[in-house]
Amino acid sequence: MLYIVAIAVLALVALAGWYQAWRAGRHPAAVPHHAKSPLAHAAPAAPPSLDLDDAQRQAGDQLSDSIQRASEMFQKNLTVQALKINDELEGLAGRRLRQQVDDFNRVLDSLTATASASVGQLETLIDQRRKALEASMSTQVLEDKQRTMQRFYDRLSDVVASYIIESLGKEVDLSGQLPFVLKVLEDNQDIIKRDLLDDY
Amino acid sequence: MTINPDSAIATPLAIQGFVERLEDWQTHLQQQEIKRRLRLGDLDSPDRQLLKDLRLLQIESDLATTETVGEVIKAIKLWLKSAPVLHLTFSTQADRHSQTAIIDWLHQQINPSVLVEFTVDGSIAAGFVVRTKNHLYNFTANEALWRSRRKLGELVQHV
Repeated sequence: MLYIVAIAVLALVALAGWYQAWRAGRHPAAVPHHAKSPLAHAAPAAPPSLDLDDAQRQAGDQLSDSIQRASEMFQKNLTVQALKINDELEGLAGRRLRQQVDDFNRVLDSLTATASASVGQLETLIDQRRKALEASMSTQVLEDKQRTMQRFYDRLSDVVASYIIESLGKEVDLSGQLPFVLKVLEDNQDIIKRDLLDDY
Repeated sequence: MTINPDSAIATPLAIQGFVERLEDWQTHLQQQEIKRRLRLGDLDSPDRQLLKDLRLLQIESDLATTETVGEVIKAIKLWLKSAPVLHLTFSTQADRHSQTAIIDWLHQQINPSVLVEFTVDGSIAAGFVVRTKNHLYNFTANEALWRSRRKLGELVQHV
């Protein structure tokens, strides 16, 4: 916008200079009204001499000076405006960049918060699952241990009996057990008698 | 007819063996009687051991003819079908002294007709198993250990 204004000013200045030079060449110097008298009107005086070349040169010089000054002014303004524009652009770019960085940071913070929340939930779920599995496994291991111990105790009598059989071998003298046998038979005499003689 | 066998023969196996010997003797007598009819010879006297075993069963007979032998066989077989039999199982074969002592006790305390069958089961650590027609009584060390398995487990834990 400033460029346009400066160019318009320069054009106006140049136009004014050119117009002044043209007018000086086409219309000689006007006579003031107060100098006119009836005598003079009656007897016209000779017109003053006018140097057109000098006037054109002066106008050209003035135009040249004006153009020079306008050019210098324009150059100066242009430099200032360029600097301002540069500053504006730099500021604008900086602001945009900062805004984008801020937006990026906001988005990043949001994503980080979301990710952290998700990871936290996942960790909680994993922890709950781990505890449940540990509890289940502990119960299962305990039950297995109890079952194994029960089986061991159930078979322990067989183990001891086998050990006794292996230890005694086949050379056992049953006469040593005879008192025990007779005692057991005597203790169970009634039952045995009933079983044996019921159908007899 | 009630038979009260002596402890020396009071087992089903011994009785069956005796019956087989009587049957053999009966067959021999039939042949002797045919010879006698043909005047080819006289009847033999029964074996002493046969008569001795017959006395162990407390049966009075001379076993001189096929008829008398047949009557004895028939009586023993009939009695054997319903005779009270007690099965005793030990870890090893019971010796003769123990068998006699047990049979004598049973004849005195239970019934004089009782027969006893002795069998062996190598899985028995000690003690014995009593089996009647319908029941089984386990008096073995295996059973005692099984009953006290919980206490046995506690003992093992404290070892």
